This record gives sequence, C-alpha cells and structure tokens, in this order.
Amino acid sequence: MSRIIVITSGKGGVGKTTVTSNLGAALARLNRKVALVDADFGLRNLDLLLGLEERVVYTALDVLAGECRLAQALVKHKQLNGLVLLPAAQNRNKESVEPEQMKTIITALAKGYDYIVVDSPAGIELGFRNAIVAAQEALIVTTPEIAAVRDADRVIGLLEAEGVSKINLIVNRVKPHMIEENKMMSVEDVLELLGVPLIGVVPDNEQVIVATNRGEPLVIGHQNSLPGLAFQNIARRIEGEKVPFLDFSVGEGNLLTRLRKIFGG
Amino acid sequence: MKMIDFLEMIFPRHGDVSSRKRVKERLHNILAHDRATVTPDIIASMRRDILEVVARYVDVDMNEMEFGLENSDRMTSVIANMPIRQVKRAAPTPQEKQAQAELKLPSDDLLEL
Repeated sequence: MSRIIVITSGKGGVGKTTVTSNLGAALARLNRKVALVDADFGLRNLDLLLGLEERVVYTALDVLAGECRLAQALVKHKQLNGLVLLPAAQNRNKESVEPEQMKTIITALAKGYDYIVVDSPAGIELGFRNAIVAAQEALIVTTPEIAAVRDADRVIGLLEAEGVSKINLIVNRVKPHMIEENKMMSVEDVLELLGVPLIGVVPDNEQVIVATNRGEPLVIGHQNSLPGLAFQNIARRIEGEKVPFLDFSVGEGNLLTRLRKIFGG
Repeated sequence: MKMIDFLEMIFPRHGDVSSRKRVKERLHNILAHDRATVTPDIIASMRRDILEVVARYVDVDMNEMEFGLENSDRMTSVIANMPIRQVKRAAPTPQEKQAQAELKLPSDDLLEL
C-alpha cells in the first residue's frame, strides 16, 4: 500500500522544494521506493535540487500527451536507489494540466512506489489543486513568520475542505538565537496558532544552501549537519517511528543568552 | 534578588521582547478573521431566525443576549447566550405556529415596501 503525500505551504519561498527533495532522499535511504512529483508546471525546480536537471528528457506533460510511457519520463537519482523524479514541464504554464489528469498519473505511479511525494507550487489556484488532488496526507511547510503562518492556515483549511484529514506541520528556518531573545515566534507559538500536529523542525542553516549549490540532498553529503539530521528524523517519523525533536539551542546564542539559560532566565 | 534579575539589571533586554508577543497577537486576530468566512449579513439573519424559534417557547432578554462566532483549535462555533426572562406556559400548537406565521406575512410585506 503506497502513501501519497503532498508538500504545500500557500506562501512561496518557505522551502517546499527543499523539504520535498530532502525527505525523498531520506526515505530512499530507509530503503523505500520513492517517486517525487514536481507539480510546479512552468517553474520547475525540484530537478535542480536533486542535481538531475541534465537527465530530464520527458515531463509529465509528455506522458499525458502520449509522447512517452510513464516509466520513460521518470528520472532515476544518481546515488540513491529507489528514488525517482517525475519532472514538470518548464515551457508551459500551470493551466496546461487538469486535476483529473494529475490524478491519473499519480494513481499509476502509486502502483510501483511506497511513497509518492508531490511538490506543490505556491498559491491556492489550479496548480495547488493539481498537487493535492490525489493526496491522502499533507505536510505543511511554514516558517516562524507572520505571512507564512497566515498562508499555512489558509491552506490547512482548504485541505480539510477537500477531505485531506492527515495534516502534519514542518517548521522550517527556525533561528534558535532569535527565539531565545524573543525576536521570533517559537515552534510552540506556531503550533498553538495553527493547531495541527508537528512532524519536524528544521533550523536555518547555511549547509542547506551549500547542498543545493551542489545539487545534493543534505542526507547524502551532510547527513550529520543539523538540517540533515532534522530531515532524517522527519522521514523516520513518517515511517511511524517515535523520534524526539532535536534541541537546537545547545551551543547556540551569545554569552548573555547562555548565562540566562544557566541562571534560569 | 535572584541571579537572573541581577543579570537583567546589568544587561537590560532590548525593546524586542514585544516583537514575538506582538506577532502572536496579530496572527491570533488575523487567523480568527480568516477562519470565520461567514458574512455579517448571514450572522444577522441567523440571529433573527434562531431568536424567532426560541421566542416561541421563552421570553428572551434581547438586551442581554449575546450571539456570534468563536474560533478555537481549528473549529469555528456559533455561540449564543440568551438569558430567559420568563418561560411561556405551554409549547405552541402547530395551529398557533401557523397563525403566527400568517400574522407575520403582512408586516413583512409592509417592510419590503
């Protein structure tokens, strides 16, 4: 029985594609067969984060047009067995695919893979509806910022209205030193506002940019970095394992915040 | 004096303490507003209809009555608080309900004119 998971956020630029590529890689490392679907037609990026842009030959649109078989369009990852990508078309816009067509493709993929992870485009229009049409569960990506949290709430409401009831939250780009200085909402603050269960916390970290520069998911070269560990933990939680959340505050912060911690501030 | 208070005195925290608090307050209000997709017109109409039904059985203190939407934990609820002034002697018979409805018709027409 395969699981179809959509990664979505409402707001753009909060890290949906980064989460999709890293979770896909982390699940593949747990020996799962994973198909990543880029649903961002016209602005595809998932191939770049996976370092697969030069291997893309066909796209989901070619499959729909009958130009190739589904299996031909799937791009295999170089290092990770069991991880494949179904690329979106870059030269068309989001209106070139209908939800029913998307559903047909994803249902067909579900026959051969343990996980289908769909990377949704930003927004709540047709592209978003295409991305969620076949999903049984959703991972909401947000950052501890006002606009991201508001959009996440909107998207959660839309998903619930569509009957997607299994919704979990990933809080991305958390800056522990800012939270300790009361300059940023904490993960607990965001949870309290959104009211959906937490499945992962990813710290803001330069390694994420370094890894995307190279086109390598963090779990390959940087598996011991904090964000690398965070993504591996999310994958294990998706698999049903109980994994405690990482404590990012260790060793973080300046002398003053550390003193405050020591003296119970 | 506790150690932390002493530290606080030497190194006062910046004015940013409130920025985290402020954003939470703002989001709390924004989300409550976003989640309540019912327009004020609909709320007024719902209030009128519910009151009409309740008033068949009890006298409601209109000045003390509260009616509105409340948000908590991803759920929006209709909250109505209707203090009772007096309980009517018997439940209205179907005939009485009918008569009331008929009586109301002309006045509704008048209102529309």
